[in-house]
Amino acid sequence: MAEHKYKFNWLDWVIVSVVILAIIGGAWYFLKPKAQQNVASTSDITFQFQTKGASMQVAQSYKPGLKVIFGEKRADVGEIIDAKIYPQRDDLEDTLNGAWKTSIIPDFYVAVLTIKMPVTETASAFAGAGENVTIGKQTIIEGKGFATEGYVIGINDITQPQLDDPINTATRSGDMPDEDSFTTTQGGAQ
Amino acid sequence: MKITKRGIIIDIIIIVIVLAAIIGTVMRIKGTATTATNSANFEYTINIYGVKEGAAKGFQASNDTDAFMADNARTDDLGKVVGVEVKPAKDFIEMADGTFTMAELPNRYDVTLTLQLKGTQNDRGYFTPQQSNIGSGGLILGRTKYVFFEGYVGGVTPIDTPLPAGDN
Repeated sequence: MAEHKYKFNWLDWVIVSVVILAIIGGAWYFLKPKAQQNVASTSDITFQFQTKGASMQVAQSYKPGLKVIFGEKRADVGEIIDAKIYPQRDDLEDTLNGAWKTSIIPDFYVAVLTIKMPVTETASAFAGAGENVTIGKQTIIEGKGFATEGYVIGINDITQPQLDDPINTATRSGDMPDEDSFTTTQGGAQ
Repeated sequence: MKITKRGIIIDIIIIVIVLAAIIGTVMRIKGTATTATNSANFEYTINIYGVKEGAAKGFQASNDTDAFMADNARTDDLGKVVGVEVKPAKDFIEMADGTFTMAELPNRYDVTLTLQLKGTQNDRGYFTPQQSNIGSGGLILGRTKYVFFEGYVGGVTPIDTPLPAGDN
């Protein structure tokens, strides 16, 4: 049987050209850089991360100096540089006086952690290796001996909320707070 | 080598399939060809209810920056934030006597963002450049540089003045 040698005809070349052009066009469309991504610089930011519903023992496990993995993609590592504990509050209806009142929930605590972490700041985001640092988005942190869900509630000095005094600053020494010292004023972490 | 009729037919079929795939991909990205769209500049508002102080400050810091969709599947450009209004949040209370009353929520704020966008429009409505509908009452999961939000589109109005180059 004679060997059948294949040769490209002009239609084959047309097909190859169309496919190559489609691949180049698709790559250009999907991979072209956005204008705002061109201006970027990597630096440390500090942000406040709030986690609710903790017992005092759990709240006191978040200590300054601990490394934390930030985000569901577990690609960013930061460090807790401050940790404060607040009583947990919730808004309740006062159905007699027609007002909303803020009340403390006994034995539930809110921890507000200030975390320092490197990000790439662009015109549109504080981009970590895995996910953006954005106020209001639910995400997770993990550290040595703890993992919790919560929200970023402030970034740098620009958006940090004015919180009440924490119920204690004893997280570094591990002292338990005096529950009588809880403030009942509105505000603070909720 | 001689080009056979059978070979030509197969080649033509392959070309048609490739072209159909390209056209289909373009239609999927740009919207269907049966829906005639025109580019349009429009202004719209997004209302976000009951945010805390840190988020309210984040929205204020977001003035004059770009906003984007932030759900799992879409990252459309939402346009440039040209206005941020922050006011105390209110919600209704059902009173003991069975009536309703509105009262301020402690330490909560309602935010209204005003955005300008270079998008498209047709008889069905206004769309982002990536063809997501922007219509009153529509839920938007979005973000700015500072804040992630869940808000509802308020009003949409066309604007005649061309937006500056480089803006969304």
